[in-house]
Amino acid sequence: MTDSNMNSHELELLIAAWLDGRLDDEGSHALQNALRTSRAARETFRQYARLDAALHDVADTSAMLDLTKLAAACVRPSSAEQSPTRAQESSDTEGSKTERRQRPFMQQMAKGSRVKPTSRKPIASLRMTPWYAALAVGILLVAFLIRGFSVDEPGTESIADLSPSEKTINTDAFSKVSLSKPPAPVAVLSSVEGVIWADSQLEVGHAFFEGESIRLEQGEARVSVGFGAEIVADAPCSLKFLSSDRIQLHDGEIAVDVAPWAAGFTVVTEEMDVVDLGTTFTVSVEAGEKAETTVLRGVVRVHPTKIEGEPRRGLLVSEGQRMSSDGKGSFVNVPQDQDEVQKQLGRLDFGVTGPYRPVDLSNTGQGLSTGDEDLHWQVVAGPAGVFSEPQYASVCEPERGYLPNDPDVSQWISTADWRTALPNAVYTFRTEFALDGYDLATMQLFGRFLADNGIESVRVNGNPVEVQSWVDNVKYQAFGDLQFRFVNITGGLVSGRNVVEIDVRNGMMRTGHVKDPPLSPIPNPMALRVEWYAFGRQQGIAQADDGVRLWRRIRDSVPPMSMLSYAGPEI
Amino acid sequence: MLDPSETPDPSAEKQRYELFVKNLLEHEPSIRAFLRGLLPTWQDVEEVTQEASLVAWRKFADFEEGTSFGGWFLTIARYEAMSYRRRLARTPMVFSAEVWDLLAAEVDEDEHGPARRQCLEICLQKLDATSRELLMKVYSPGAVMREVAKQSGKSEQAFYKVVQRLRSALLKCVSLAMAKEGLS
Repeated sequence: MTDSNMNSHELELLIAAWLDGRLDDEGSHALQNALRTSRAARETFRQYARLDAALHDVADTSAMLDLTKLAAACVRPSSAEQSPTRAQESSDTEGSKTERRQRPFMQQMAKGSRVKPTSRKPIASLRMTPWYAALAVGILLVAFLIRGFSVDEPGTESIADLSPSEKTINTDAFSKVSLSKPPAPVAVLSSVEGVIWADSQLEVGHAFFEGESIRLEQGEARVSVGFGAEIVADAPCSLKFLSSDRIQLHDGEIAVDVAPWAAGFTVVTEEMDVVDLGTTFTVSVEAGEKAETTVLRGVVRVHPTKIEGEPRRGLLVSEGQRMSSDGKGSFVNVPQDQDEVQKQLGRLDFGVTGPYRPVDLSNTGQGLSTGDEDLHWQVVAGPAGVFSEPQYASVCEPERGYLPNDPDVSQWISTADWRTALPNAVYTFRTEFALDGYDLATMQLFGRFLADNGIESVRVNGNPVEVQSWVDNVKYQAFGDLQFRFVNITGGLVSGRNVVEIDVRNGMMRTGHVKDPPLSPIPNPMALRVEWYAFGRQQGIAQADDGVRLWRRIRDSVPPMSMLSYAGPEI
Repeated sequence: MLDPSETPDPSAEKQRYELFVKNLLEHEPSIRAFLRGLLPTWQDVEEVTQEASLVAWRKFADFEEGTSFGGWFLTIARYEAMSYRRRLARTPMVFSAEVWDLLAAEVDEDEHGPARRQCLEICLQKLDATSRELLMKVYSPGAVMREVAKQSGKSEQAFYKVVQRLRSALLKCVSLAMAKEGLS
């Protein structure tokens, strides 16, 4: 085989064999010939090499997240019968066919010379603890000895118990997505009448989380969505809460009353997405048959979802009109009898309290670029001698092991010198928001918090919030979706300006390529990420409703176990 | 050992260390990616990266602030890799000197490394969960590929094909995403 007749597929197979460590003599000759004679082949090779390296990085992070560690352990041979690792299968340096090396950098630093191989490298090496951490220990220990500093005993921090769970959304190949962030509460069951649920009996006040599904076998139920929509569901009916502003109707009929501030609330069906433009409407689905929406008040926009090969369309449906699909891609807009529409509207009971309204709170770094200071977040306190004055927090470039920034939702923020924050120290972050026109008794404020290394305490207007503090600092520690925790703020809120302060604890760093790396008091990264979910009913309306305190029941609630394999929003 | 007559300034040492670590954190992934294109195994990549890092620290006093740390570090890594290659056994996995020189010479500092990593994470999210888990198993630290293949219930050949198809799909996805961002 020569380069001149090698196609790209053959080249990719040879590259794959090289990456996998199974290239034989003939393959090696062919690959090297291609690389020698073709710049394009070298570029393809480089792209795969970069991908391979990046996949190693991602897998290391996943191992830190503990998602695949168990899986890897299952396929890892026991220590007594260690076979070469994927990395070791194909290559050994001369004179060390079986012995892998671990370089004790501390000793190298101390002696200033190369250290001979001393031990077999552990099968699962600790990527989390780079060599320079050990180097830093050397430097700082020298500095500490000279200055007569004492070092805190390691191991005094609490170690968080991680309970990873990954939720999978099954849709078509390459449109599947893996969710692992704890789902947020998005709605609450406000009232029921003669209901029988398919699975478990839900009580008024039950909180629904993103991704949760319900099936109503009998009766009628009213659900209040925090985003600002009241939903009346008639049995039989099956629906799913996709996100704060989207629900999916599988079958049955629902009526939706959407507040003006919640325009854009969407009901998703197999045939069409019904997007609210400030209105009251019904949506019905006959499983596998057809879907239709009737607008009782206002206007909606219907997006057909099953018309292939045609440009995207958004059809406006006005008050008193019904848009139907026949299940085969055809849509018909039929005017309705106005009296009938009014009667239907009169029969619907959306409650007298009015819908919930989200509170305008700023997630960390939302909408900003890396390096930007965040107008809504400040770091107002830090360790004496290091922290000089309050400053706006700025958006950080995520450290390895950090959840990537998502400017649309939230990003990591910290001080300017965040990579070298003082260990065993507390930094206080502050944000403010206004609560005007809300009935405080109905307020519910959730923060989804992610912090390197953890949260020590949270205060609202100076009053402590009940929070069980945590520090994430285990072997392979990562700060990803799984490390998000909910903090529920139920008290201490006032009308007008409110101040939330969050004490972030920066821990020590684990150093050394050993099984149980010790914690070392060296400067290390410290950052915070917060996503808010806050709702309340409008003042003056809420008093009349028995269900005004329903949101309080969400407190301390956790996502139901049934959601561990829920289907969620499409991407 | 420290010479007692040359007592270092702890704060200056700390600042120097912080600057070094900051630069290293930023550029280490692209160095590993560069080395992966020369060295036969990830184990080799890790070893040479660590050796290059140590050399970089020892020579850090020579580094001129304001110049490109990435380029400087890449040069060190290139020399360290070459030195390491001399110690490698001759196997089909080790490229000839000619091919090695060609590959090493054409690589510049990978300024789009962080963007590529982000695109990869997005593309991984688009994979079905089974495929993603399979890839993570293959690339998890210390994993033995043929053992992962055995666990998957597929023949080794079929397994390697699946892995390659996934890599190929990811590469296309990443390239597309990078192109959309105006990067390449």
